[in-house]
Amino acid sequence: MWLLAVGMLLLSSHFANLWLRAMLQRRAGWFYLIMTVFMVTAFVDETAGMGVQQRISTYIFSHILSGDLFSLGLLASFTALTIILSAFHLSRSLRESGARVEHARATSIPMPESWGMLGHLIRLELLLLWRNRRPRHYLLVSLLFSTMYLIFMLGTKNAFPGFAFAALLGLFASGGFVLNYGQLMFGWDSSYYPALMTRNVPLRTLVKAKLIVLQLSCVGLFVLSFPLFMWFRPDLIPLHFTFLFYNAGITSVLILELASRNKQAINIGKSGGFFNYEGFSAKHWLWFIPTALPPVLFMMAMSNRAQLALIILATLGFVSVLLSDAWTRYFARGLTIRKHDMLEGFRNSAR
Amino acid sequence: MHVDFNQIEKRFGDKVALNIPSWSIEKGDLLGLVGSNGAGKTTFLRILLDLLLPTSGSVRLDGRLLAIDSSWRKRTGSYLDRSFLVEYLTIPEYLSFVGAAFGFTEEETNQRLAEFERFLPISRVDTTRLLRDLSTGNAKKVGILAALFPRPEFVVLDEPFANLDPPSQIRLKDELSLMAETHQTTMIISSHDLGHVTEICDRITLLDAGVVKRDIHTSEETLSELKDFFSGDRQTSAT
Repeated sequence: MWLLAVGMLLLSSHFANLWLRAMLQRRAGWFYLIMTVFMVTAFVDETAGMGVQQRISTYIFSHILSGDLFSLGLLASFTALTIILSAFHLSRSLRESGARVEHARATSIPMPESWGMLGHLIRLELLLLWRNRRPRHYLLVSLLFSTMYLIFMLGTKNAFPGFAFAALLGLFASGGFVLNYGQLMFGWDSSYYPALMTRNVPLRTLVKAKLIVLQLSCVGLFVLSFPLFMWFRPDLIPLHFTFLFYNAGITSVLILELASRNKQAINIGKSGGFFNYEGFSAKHWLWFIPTALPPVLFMMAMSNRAQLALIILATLGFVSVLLSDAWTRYFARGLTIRKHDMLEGFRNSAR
Repeated sequence: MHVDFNQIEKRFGDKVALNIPSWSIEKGDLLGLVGSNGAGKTTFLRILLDLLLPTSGSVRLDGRLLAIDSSWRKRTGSYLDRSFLVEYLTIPEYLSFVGAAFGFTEEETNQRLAEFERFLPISRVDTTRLLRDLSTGNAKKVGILAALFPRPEFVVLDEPFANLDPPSQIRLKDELSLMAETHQTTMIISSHDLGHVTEICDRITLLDAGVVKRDIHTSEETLSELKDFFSGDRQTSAT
């Protein structure tokens, strides 16, 4: 009986996941509304200590363990519901595929003409994010982290008591997009890199556009998550400010250093599911060490003088932002040297 | 634009894909590059556009080394395949981007595009349709248009006639001839269509196994000579 329940749980979890992804792709307004209500209810239940979720869970699982057929029936009904829902959406997607053209996405992003090629390249980056499934997935994950996940992390009592662990939170709260999407910069362009390399697109301008997008993402996510810090953890606001500068100045540069060595093509039209690692290699995982660990270790080492540590990190970030032009020149030089390797790598791995 | 190949060799492992001791093209030449599959045409064009480094040798455009001086990009229009398109853009967005790379304002881009209205009526295209949703033929028309509309000094096209409908093929031939005659544009067109290239090109370079087998000015006999070569009569026709 118990094993049967575990099996059904696995099945329902799998099909519920498929259904959720299908619904997210349809971008149905009512679905977002229900999900928001559900998540807010769950959050209120958790933070207010009502424990309704826990009682439901205890009821079902304790009854299953005691061999109660009614609870097992409930679970079986839930499993059947998830299977039916995901099958329904799968067949609907198959019917509609081929006929659907992404016209709705073809809304352009205006840029001042005086910005010249820089404006065009920033627009290119924003449209890449908006019109392609995998880059859009990374954007969504970053937005979710800086809002939904952050609510749970900041709202949970006694979470992140010290500055060192909070540093990791600060790193992701405003730098989530840089750390996720930024890693594959240039790889995102793999399918049209020849178009950029045979036209009068100065590499410095190309790098500058990418750096601006990364830095602006830090500001955007900072603003988005700021009210949450204010509400739940006002004591972490100085840290949040510090990591805005650190992410815009240091994390963005470190991530671009990694990304400017990408040689693996990425299919931007493919689903951006959590298990799609196309374009990633071992060095992407290893690069996490010099990117994420130093600020955390620094904060740990300076735990007695946390305020000073924050000032140092913020200053480093701010100075690095001021040096953006020098970084741009540095990356453009590297890209010029590696141009043919990248072109060949993109071409070979796309086959 | 004057182009020089000097002692160019490209190897992939042990295989020699291209071996051209010396080859050049003069300003205003309209050259057809022909050869069987695997003859080295695409390798030739990719080296010419600095997308591929030769194993040895150098390419000079107007005397400047291609690998060092990138100023040729301001004066060159090219289309080899779909990797020359940014497929998540709409047609107007893409052409505006290409125009900006040539330093044109939106207005200048639109003026120049209007000159190619016969080839691709840009005023009538669906402005919300993304390039990736276009058919192979229509995507190619956009790519060719992007290479031609800035009226660059140097044009490189790979298989421009393949997948185009007959009216578009005729209009493209007219445009290419016009550009060579009135704008003195240097053009290299790779094609399997011997009829088209002998009709519009004033010079033909024939590649076979990475080696230039023929480099001739087009005459009335060129088409039959090329047909003889490709039909297997290489012993008698090879020079």
